[in-house]
Amino acid sequence: MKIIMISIVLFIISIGNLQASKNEVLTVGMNELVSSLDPPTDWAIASTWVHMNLFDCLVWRNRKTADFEPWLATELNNVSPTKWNIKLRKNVLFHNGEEFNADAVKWTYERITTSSRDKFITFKQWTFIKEIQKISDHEINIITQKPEPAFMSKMAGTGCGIQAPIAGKKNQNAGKYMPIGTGPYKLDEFKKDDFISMNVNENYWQRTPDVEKIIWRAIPESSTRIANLLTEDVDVTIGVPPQDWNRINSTGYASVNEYLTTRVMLLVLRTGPSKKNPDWTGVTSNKKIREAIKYAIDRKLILEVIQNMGVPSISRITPPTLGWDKQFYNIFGEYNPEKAKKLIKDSGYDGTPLVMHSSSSYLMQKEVAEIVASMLNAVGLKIDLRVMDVTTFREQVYYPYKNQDIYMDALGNSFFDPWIAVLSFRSDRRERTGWSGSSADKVDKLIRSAAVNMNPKNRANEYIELQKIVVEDGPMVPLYQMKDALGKNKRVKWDMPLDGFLWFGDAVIY
Amino acid sequence: MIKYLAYRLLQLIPPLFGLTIILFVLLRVGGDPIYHLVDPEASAEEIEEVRKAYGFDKPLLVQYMNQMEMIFTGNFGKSFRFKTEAMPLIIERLPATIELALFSILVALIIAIPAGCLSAIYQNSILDLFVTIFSTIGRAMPNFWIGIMLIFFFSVVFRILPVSGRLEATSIILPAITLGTSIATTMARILRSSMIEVIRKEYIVTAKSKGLSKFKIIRSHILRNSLIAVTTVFGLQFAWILGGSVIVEEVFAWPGMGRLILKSVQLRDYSVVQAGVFIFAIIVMFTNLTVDMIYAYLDPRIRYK
Repeated sequence: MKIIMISIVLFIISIGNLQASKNEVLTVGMNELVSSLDPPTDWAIASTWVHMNLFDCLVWRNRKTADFEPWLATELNNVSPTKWNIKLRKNVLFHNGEEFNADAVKWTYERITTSSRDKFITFKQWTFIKEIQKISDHEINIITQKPEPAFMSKMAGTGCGIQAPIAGKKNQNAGKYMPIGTGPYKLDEFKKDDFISMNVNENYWQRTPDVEKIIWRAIPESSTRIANLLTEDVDVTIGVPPQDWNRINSTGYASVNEYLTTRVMLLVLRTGPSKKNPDWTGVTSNKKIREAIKYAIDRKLILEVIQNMGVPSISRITPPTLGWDKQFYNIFGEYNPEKAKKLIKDSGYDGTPLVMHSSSSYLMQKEVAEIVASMLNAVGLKIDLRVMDVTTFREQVYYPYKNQDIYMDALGNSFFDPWIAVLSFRSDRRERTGWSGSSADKVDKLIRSAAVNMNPKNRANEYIELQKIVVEDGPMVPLYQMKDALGKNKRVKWDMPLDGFLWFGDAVIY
Repeated sequence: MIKYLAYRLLQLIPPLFGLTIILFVLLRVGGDPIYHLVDPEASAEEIEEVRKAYGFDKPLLVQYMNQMEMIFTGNFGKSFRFKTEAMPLIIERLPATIELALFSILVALIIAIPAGCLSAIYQNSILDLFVTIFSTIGRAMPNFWIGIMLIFFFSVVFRILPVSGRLEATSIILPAITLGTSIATTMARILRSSMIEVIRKEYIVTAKSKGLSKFKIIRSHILRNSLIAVTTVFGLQFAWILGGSVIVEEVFAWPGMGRLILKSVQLRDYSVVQAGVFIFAIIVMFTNLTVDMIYAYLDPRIRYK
């Protein structure tokens, strides 16, 4: 009997301890986890979120303004078009006690640039670096292949986390990998596709974070993730669908927080044949039909249907990315079905169906595709809508360039620089649109000029000019910048940063 | 017996060989993994460059021969996604899936044996009707729906069991019930029919006339003789459990092989799919072999040569 009593008391005490420790743990419910903890080997956004809690980069975005600022660097000076002098932060230690210095920067990036695409998925992203010169322990020069105005953005790109060189080389020689960074958290345990637990880095160079432990859990099914939030098993969960908002908000202990992603939902129109699709002759090759499509879209209605989970935009360059402008962003664009009908009549359209492809991967994408198709049908175009799962869409339409008249997709820009958002308009990247003509040539010139323009103001103006032409004559009809929703327990004091990255160095739990 | 076992083991080779061909063809027809290894802005040239780097530009026959060469040395190749060998990834997940399968079987037996016995003994009674209705509903309900309902009641409303994962000892309960219930319904029906057939046999009348207790007759004569049919079904259902675990693991975020294979199929991670299906096939084949061995124990007239 005594033994039973003692066991019960010990059990109650252990539950008490568990409860106490639970308050220092932040659990995050993710739809998927990283495939690797080595930053340059996994470029999924969700992976970058995890990596950024373990590693720091030389440059990062300000959490409130999303402007690029020195992070592990203290100063970055562009001394010539292709040369950047960088002063490094002193007294920063890696999780294993190694000192952060020029050797660490050199080893981290040369490890990628001297490797190959099949080893590091982000290899191409880093080929802009020609050489890294060590000036002293805390000063380096980075020489770029050509003038690189997107230098700050690229230095904060996927795989930018600086790794401990001594331990890194030792592990590499032994055929192993251990994530040793300078980030606010250090790895405790990683079970692939199950969970990652991280302990606080008490020597973090900014200040010791308040939350002692972060557990990232892979919960692929969204209803299960929501149930975990409702039972308070997880504190933060991503990807909350609108139908669950009221249920979460009515609990009193959890709430739904909307945030803007970098993704823009858009329509891409084929204007002519291309190398991979040389025999294409479709309805959208007629400029009047393309114009009619633009006037037939009612963005206001689309946003109502998706419960305002987006900001209307007629351009893919959205804030805070350089070159975004009020004349293209947060506006509905001209919705004029009568004008669209007249343009269709003038075009001599004979009723040939327009093939419209779309995947159903994003929040209410299928519904939006159906609305768009019905809007186009309403002005007299016959739409053959083909909605498919994202894998089929990517494998059968997008990558083999089998897109016909229209396809709908959502494209992001995790670089927060416009170069990637306009890349598909460059003359060598027009496989999916077959865009040509004087406007296309002007845009090509502007893209190539902006890619090496080291004056940010002039570069922004070039992108604004480029957007004007694309809106007027381009083969793209952006619809809205997408929002996403995050479920959060109220005991967590933490706001989603403007760049939408889950970095918990400043989170507090009550 | 040893000779028979060796013969049966040798018999496993041709199906496994056939499986490698079927898998190879299905995976190649199903899609192109390269599209999951490049970013949406990649140019046609970049895509071809990556295809070459991974060896997918080679003729299919060459790719198949390379794959077979690796399999014969016990190497299924590297996972594109995890950049590590595929087989250790599968082996790492195997315990979770086996654990789920065993607990599901336990749940199935706990439900099916009493339900099947009572239903047969009290044939055409209210109890029998109840078991029949339960079996029909159990078979008709999809696994994922049962799972979501169990989560809603036991985790969200009553808060007595964890929602998902494999972090606590009690985490196994809901996934095992989800997977076990649907097998239990089939097993209960089979056991019922089998027992009804045995109850009518002459040796049961003899046992009764000898004055044996009802419990002893059921345990030693009816149940044991009915188990051959149940064992056969069990062998078939075990393969079903492994297949069903894919969905259940997804719903309950159970870190097993099923979830890994599902994600790998979506991302065309060939090596992992091949290694996973290979292991599944071996487990199913060995289960069938074990079932055959159990026949001999249950029915001493059966002898293997």
